[in-house]
Amino acid sequence: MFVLLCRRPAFKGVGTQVTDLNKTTPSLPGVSVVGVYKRYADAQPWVVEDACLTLAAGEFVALMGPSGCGKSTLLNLMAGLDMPTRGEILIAGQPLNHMNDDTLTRMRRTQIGFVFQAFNLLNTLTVAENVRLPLDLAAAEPVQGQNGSSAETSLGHRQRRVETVLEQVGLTHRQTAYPSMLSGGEMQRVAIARAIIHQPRLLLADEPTGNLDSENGQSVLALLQSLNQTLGQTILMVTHSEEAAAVASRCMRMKDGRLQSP
Amino acid sequence: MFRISSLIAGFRLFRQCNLRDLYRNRLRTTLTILGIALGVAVLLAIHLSSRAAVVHFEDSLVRVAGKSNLEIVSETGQPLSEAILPQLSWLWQVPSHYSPVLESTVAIQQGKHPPNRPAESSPDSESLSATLVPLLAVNMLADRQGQDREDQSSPWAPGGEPTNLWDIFKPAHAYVGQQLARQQGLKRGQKMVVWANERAVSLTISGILSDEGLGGAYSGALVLMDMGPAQALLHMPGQLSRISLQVPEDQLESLQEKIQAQLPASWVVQRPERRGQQVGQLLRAYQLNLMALSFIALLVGAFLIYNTLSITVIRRRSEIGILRALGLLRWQVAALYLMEALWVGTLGSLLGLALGWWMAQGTLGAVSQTVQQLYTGQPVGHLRVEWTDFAWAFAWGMGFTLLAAICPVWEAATVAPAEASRRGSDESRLHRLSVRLSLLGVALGLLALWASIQPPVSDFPLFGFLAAFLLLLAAAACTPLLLQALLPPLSRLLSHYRGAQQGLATRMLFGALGRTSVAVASLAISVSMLVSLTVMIGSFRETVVQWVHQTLQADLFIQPAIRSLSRNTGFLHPATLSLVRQTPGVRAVDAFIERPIRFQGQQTYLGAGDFEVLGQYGRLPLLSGEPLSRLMQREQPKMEAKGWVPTLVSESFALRFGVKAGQCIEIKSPTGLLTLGIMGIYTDFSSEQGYLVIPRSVYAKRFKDDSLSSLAVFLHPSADSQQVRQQFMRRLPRQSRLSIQTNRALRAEVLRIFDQTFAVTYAMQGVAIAVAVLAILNTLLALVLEHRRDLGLLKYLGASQKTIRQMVLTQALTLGTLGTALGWGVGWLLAILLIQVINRQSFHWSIQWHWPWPSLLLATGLLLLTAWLGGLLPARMAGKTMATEALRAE
Repeated sequence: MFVLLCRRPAFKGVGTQVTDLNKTTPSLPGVSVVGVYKRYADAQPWVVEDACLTLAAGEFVALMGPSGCGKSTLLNLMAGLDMPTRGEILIAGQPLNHMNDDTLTRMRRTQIGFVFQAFNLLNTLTVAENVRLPLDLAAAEPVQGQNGSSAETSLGHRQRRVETVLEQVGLTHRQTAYPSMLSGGEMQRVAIARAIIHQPRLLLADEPTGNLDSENGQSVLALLQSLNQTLGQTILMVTHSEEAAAVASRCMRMKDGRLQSP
Repeated sequence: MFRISSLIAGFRLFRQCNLRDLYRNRLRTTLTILGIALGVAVLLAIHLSSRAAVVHFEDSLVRVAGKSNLEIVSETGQPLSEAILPQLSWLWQVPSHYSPVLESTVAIQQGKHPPNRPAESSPDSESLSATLVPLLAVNMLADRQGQDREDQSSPWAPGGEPTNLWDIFKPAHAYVGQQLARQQGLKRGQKMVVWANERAVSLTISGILSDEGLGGAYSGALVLMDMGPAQALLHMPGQLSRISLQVPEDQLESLQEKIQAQLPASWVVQRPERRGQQVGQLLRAYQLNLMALSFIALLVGAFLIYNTLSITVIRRRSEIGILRALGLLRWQVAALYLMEALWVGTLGSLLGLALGWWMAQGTLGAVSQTVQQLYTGQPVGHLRVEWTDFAWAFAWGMGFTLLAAICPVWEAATVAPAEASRRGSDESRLHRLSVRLSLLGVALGLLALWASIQPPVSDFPLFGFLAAFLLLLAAAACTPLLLQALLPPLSRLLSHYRGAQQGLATRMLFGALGRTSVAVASLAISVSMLVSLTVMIGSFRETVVQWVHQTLQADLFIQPAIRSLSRNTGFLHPATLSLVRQTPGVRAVDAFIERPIRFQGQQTYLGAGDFEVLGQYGRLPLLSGEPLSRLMQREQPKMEAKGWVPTLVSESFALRFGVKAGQCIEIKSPTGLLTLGIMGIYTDFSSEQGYLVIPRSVYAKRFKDDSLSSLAVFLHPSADSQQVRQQFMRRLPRQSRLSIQTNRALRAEVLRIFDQTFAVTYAMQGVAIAVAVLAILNTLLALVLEHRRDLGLLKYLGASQKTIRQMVLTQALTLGTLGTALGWGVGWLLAILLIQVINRQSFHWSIQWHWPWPSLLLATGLLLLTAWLGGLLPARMAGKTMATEALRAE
C-alpha cells in the first residue's frame, strides 16, 4: 500500500498541474444514498436492495463485491444514468429523483465525472476530441446568466484544458490518435481524462482497472489517488480488486444487491 | 438566446459525431443521397413539364387577348356567326371596341415532295409527317390588339418585314411567328404547305412576326392571317371562334349583362381568363395524377432516408447513450440527428434539382404530345423555369426528409444515458414491442380501408392517396412481428438443408430484429411501388386492348390527317361521306361528329353518330352487357315519346356527372335547350371528360352543323379493305389529307397513343426500380457492416473466408426474398387502390384486373439479382474482415 502511495505516477505533469485545477474547484458536496431499491421489471428480483450510503466531501470510497451483485447499477443510479425504483439519492442536498431530464443531464455535465468499465470512447473522435467532449457539450448549450465567459468557452481555452489534462494522464503525444489505435491502458487513461476535464465534484469510476494489466492498473489508481488528495475530489470506485480498494480511504462491500455493514 | 459560440460548438459536435460517421459510411451515404435526388428530380421534371402546358396556354391567351377584358364564346362547341357583329355596333358609343377572332389549328407538312408533282398533291398522308401550329385570324384593318401594345418595338422579325402590307389580305397569304420560321426554316415570300381540315393548301409567307406582342403568342410558333382568307382556308365562311371586347373597366359588369341579353342562349360573354381556367381545369386530373405518381418516387427516396437514419440510430445507440451520460440534452441529440437528415436531404435535393432540370427536357416531349393529342390540341412550348420552381421541389425534398427523419430522430432523443453501458437492449425491446406495433399496423390498415371508400375531394382522389400512404405505414408496422414469426423456421430450414452456418446467418438477422425490420420494410415499400405501378399500367393496357377489339369493328376508319395529331382539330366535308358511300365494296358508314361542349360548367364532348348503322354493324360495349340494337329497339321509342333525344353516355361521363340510364339531362344548342334521355351507358377509354352521343340527324338539325369528325366504314364481307382503301384514295381530290386506316392499323394506333400517354409513367416505373435497387444495396451494406463483429467472432472461432462470404450472401438473399415477398403483398393491395379508387376517381374509368406476369417476373428477377449482387460487395468486405480488427472495432 505504502509502495503504491509513494510510487511516482507514470503520467507526466500530475504534480505540476494539480495545483492549478485546485484553484477553481469549488467546495465539494457530500453524496447520500437513502434506502434505494432498483429492479428493471416488476416481476424481476431487486438488483439493488435498501442501499444506504453517505460519501463525505473529498472522500475516496471503494465499493467491492462479486460480479452481478449490483455495484455498477448502484453507480449508474448515483450518476443519474438510471433512476431508482424506490428511495432517494442526494447530491449536494439535491434529490436526483425530483430533477427533470434536462436538469439531471446538466448536473451530470457539470458536477459528475464517470469512468466506464468499457471506456466508452467515441470511435469517430480523436483522443483530444474525446477528452474535450464534456467541454464541447457545455459550450453547445448557452446557459442563462452565463455571459462574458466566452474566454472560458472558446475553443482555444478548451484546447488548453485538454492539453493540461492529457499531460496529467501522460497522453500528450497521442492527441490526434483515434481510439482504435490505442492500447487498453491508453483508452482507460483517455476515459479518465474525459471524466475529469470539467472538474466534476463527484467522480464515479466503474472498475477502472478491470480491463488493464497490472502496470497500467497501478498507474490509473495512482492518478485517482492523486486527484483525490490534491483536488479533494469525491471519488467512488467500483472494483473487485483488493489491491485497487486499498488505495481508497474507505471500503464498502456489496452482496446480492445489499450493502454490507463495514 | 443562442450565442454564436454555442452554434459553432454545436456544429463542431455535429461534424465530429455525425459528419464523420456519414463519411465513414460514404457508400451508404451516397446511395441515400442518390435515392432522394431521384425522387426530387422526378418531381421537378414532372412539375415543370406538366405546368408548361398550362402556362403556355395562359401566356398565349394573354398575348392574343391584348387589352380585351371580355369575350363572347359559344358553350356548344359551335362557331359563332359573324352576323351578330352589326348588333354590337352600339358598343362603339360607350366607347368600347370589339374584334372578331378565328382560332384553329393547322399542321405544317414536313418532308420533301415528289419533284414532278405540286407540293400539295400527295393524298397518301400516311407517308407524310406534319407539325401542329395554332392559326390565328383577326380583322387586320380593324383589329386593335396590335395597336394596343404599349411597347413601340417593331412587330417584325429582322428581315421579316412584308414587302407589301396589302398582301396579307390576299387568299392563302399569312404571317408566321419568328420561332416557327426558325423551326421550319421558313423565309418571307416562301410557300409552305399546311393541312387545314382535310385539305393541303399552299400558303405564302408575307412576313415574319417578332416575338413581341401577338407574335410572341404560342411561344412565337403561330400562323397569323386576315379573317377573310382564314375563313376560306378553314371552310368557315362567316364563322368566328370568339369576339374580343374591350370595355371600360368601371362599366364592365353592367355591359356584360347588357351584351349577354343580346346573345343567343348558347353563347356566353365572359372574362378572357376564364378560358385559361377552363384549360387548367381540363388538365387538372392529368397533371394531379402525374404529380401524385411522381411523389411515389420521392416517397421511396424518403424511405431510403428513414432506412439509413433508423439503422444509424440503432447502430449508434450506445454512442448516443455515452453522449447523454456525458451531458448531451435530449433536444441536442434530436438536433444532431435532425441535422444529419437535413444534411443528406439537402445534398440529395440539390442534386435532384440539377437532375430534374435535365430530366424535364425529356418528360416535356412526352407530356407535350399527350396534352396536344388529347386535351388542348396545341403544341406545348418550351420549359420556363423560375427560381420558385426549384424552391418548390427543394421544399418537397426537405419536407419528405423531415417526415422520414421524425421517427429515427425521436428514437435517438429517447435513448437513455444508461444505454451507454448496455448492448442490444433496443433489439430486445423490439421483440417485446412487435405485437403492439402490429396492432398499430392493423389500426392503420383499417384507417386505410376507411380512407379508400371516401369520395374524391374536388375530383381529386385525396383519400385514395392517403389510403395508399397508410397502407405502406401499416405494412412497415407489421414487419417486425412477421419477421419474428418467419425467421426462426427459415433458420431451421436453412440449417437442415444448407448447413448450420447458413441457419446461423438467418439467426443473426433475427437477433438484430430492429435493423432487419427496417431493412425489409424499406425494401418491401420499394417493391410494392414497383408491383402496383406495373399491375396498374398492365391492367389498364389489357383493358384498352380488349375494349379496342370489342369496339373497333369497322373495316376502315377515315378522318382528317390532322386529327391524328390532335383529337380536337379538323373536320371532314360532307362531300367526303358521299364519296365513301359510292365506293364499291362499302356496305355502311357510321359518320361521327364530336365537339367539346360545356356541361354543368365543365368540359365534356358531344358526339353524334348514325345509331342505326352502329346498332346493326357495331358492337358498342354497354355496361349492362345488352346488345345495342336490342337496347335501341326498346328505349328509343320510349325516349322519343317523351320528347327526349335518345342518348348514349360514356362511363366516364356517367361517373363524372352522376347520371344513370333512364334519366334525362338538358344541354344548350343553337336552337335552344335540348332534353336528352339517357338510354344506356357504354364503356369508353377515349376521353376522361366523357361523351354524350346523340343521333346525327338530331344533331344536324338542332346544331345546324353537317360537318364530320370521322367515318367508320363497314365493307361487304367479300370486299378487301386494302383494295377499297386504294379505290377510295384514287377518287379523292389531289389536295386531300386524310388518314385512312384499316382496322388493324387503328388498333395499333390506339395502343401507340396509350403507350405514349403512359411514357412518363413507364419512366417512373424505371425510377422505382432504380430506387428499389439503391434501397437493397444500402440495406445490405448497412446490415453486413453491423454484423462485422459477429462475423469477426466467427472467423476467430475458425470460420473460413468462404463460409463468411456465403453467410453474407444468404443474409442478402433472405432479406431480398422477404422484402420482395412482402412487397408483392403490399403492392397487390396498392394496385387495387390505384385501379379501383384512385384511377376511378381521377379518370372515371373501370379497369379490369390483369397480372402482367412477364413485366412483374422480370422486375422481381431483377430485384433478386440486385439483392444477390448487392450482397457480393459486403460479402467480400466481410470475408476480408480480420477477426481481431472486427472485435477491436467494438
